[in-house]
Amino acid sequence: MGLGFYHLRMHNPRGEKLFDIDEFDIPQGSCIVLSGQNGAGKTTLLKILAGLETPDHAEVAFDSQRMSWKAALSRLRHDVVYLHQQPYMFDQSVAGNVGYGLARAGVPRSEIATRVAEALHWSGLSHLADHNARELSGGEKQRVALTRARILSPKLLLLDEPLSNMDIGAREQTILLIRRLKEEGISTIITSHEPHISTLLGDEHRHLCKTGPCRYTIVRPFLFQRGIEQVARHPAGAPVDSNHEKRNTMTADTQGTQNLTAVILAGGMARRMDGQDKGLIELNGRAMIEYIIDALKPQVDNIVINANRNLEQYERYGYPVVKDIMGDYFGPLVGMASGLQACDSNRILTVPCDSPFVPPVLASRLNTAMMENQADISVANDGERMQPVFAMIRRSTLNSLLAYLDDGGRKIDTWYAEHQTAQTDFSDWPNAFININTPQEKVMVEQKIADDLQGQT
Amino acid sequence: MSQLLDSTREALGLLITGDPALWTIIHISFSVSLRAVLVSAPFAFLIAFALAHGRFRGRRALVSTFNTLLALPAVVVGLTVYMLLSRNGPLGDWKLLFTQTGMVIGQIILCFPLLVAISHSALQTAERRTWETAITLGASPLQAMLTVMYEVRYGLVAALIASFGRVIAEVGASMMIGGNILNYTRNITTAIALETSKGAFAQGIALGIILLLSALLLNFGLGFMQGKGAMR
Repeated sequence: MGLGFYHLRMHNPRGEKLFDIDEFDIPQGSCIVLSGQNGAGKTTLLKILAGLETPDHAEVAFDSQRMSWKAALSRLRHDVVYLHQQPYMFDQSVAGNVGYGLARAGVPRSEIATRVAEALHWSGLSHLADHNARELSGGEKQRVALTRARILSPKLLLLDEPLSNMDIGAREQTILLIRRLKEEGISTIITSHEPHISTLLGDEHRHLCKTGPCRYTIVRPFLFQRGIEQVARHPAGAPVDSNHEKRNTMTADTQGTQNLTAVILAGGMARRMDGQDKGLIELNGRAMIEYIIDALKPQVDNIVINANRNLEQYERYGYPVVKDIMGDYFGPLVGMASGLQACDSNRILTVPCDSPFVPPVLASRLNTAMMENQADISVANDGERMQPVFAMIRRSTLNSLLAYLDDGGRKIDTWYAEHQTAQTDFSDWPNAFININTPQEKVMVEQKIADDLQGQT
Repeated sequence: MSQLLDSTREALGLLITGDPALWTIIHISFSVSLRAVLVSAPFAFLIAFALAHGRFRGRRALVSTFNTLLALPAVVVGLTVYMLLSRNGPLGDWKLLFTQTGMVIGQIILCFPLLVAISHSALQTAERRTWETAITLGASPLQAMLTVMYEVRYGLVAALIASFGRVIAEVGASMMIGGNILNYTRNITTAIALETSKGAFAQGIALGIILLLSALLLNFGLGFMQGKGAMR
């Protein structure tokens, strides 16, 4: 069953706008990891999906049948099960708790008994069947809650911080159960503030992100790695993976594929150029971005263009075009984050779209400095000052970048300062950082290009 | 002093020999009060649940209204119901004055606020998680409500016990509405009042002992239930 939510709007207890989500689709059998700051509304969002809290506005689509949230309420309550961060145990035996939903649905007692026994066996809780559920440990309660939900064969399971406050053993067992639920085709949404959970469980990551005062919406920061599927495909009941394998997937998540993607930042407003799209300004008959693509092609494995306008024109160059993942024209940092989320490389190389003379040694020099200094970020320096948008950035910084943007941070230098940053001197490439901000500068640059061409011939 | 001792000895004799007149009175008392509490309980619990978990306008005002009604004097209830049920009253056609049903009505009015107040505070201890868990596991709102009530069952039983204790010990309403008719509406408290005014203390003391014992027992049960509720 495909399930989708549209125009989800909700306020917080003070009556302020909390989030406004255009689209939240849940593909069948998918596991979505939902992250976001405290107060972003993760729990509220889940409760709305489960039909437990009333949104200001929402539309629901079952397959392609669209209806209001109110009309969908009984179906949501039936098809979706929400699990509290600290699951509530009814004051009765574990078996009674697991059979709760079946008993309310009018299933005959003998059938409940068999199905409960089977379910408890599934989760390895058979020995606790007659214990009072209130007397269990936190991890055991979480497993009872999962079992209690699974026995109802829901279409969608919502897990609110399922692994918080748990010791390692309990976590592993819980993770194993969640994975097996996934294999049974139950879609899940897991909220978490621990990013690595996404590696262990999820196949899609969405971030509830602040885009304005008291307003959140969904962005999709990560593309996932092949390595994770491998872990997830382990047969049910198999022992938790060896440490070796886990470490591999962990690295895959934080560092991505061992290659380099260039992100051309063309998402600006170009205020001083009368709002013309800078990347598309023609210099001697060719769009500025073409010069940049030509210069980058030999240096990187992939190219991604970050733009917010004229997307079709940018797409003509044959590279993925990504819009800013949040806000309206928040600046180059958002462009960097958007580029990072759109590729799976472990590092990206960012360049602005208005500096046509990209040095052919840009990537190699930044890379050398990054390796030598074991830096997270490697930035170009023109001999006098830092040129922050010419940078090589590791994927591992993405979470910090999103958090920084979430807090309202927009300044590149301030964010760089939070990380191990290396600078590389490019004073021997005086043209590298010439950029076009005014029509006068454009004329000068065109002249220079013509001169260069002449010099070559 | 000797009169008190003699009367007490006589009273114990009555209790031990199982004096039928005495036991009839006791039976009437328990039967009327039990009916009053049991009829009130479902409605009181429902209202208490709405007050504890509903979100509607005027909820707080209702809560304080019920708390204020706790102070309702039994004689005033007796007087009001008497006037309503008397031949010329608006409900005179029901012919309920000087009947057990009339007494039950009076006692319902007396125990209802107490039932609501105590079960309200019991139901308030149930978290929203309880309700949400029940609903998300497919319970209907009615089933979810029953689940929440079951989770605080000790508190609800305590509410039953406390209200039963209140109505079985009241005199005013029973006397005025019931009319103290022998073998029909004469209960423990009205009998004690009558026998005392006649100077026949033995039966009064015997009934007093029963009342005292049941009050002690009920309060013991109340304490037990509250302890059990608090433990979880």
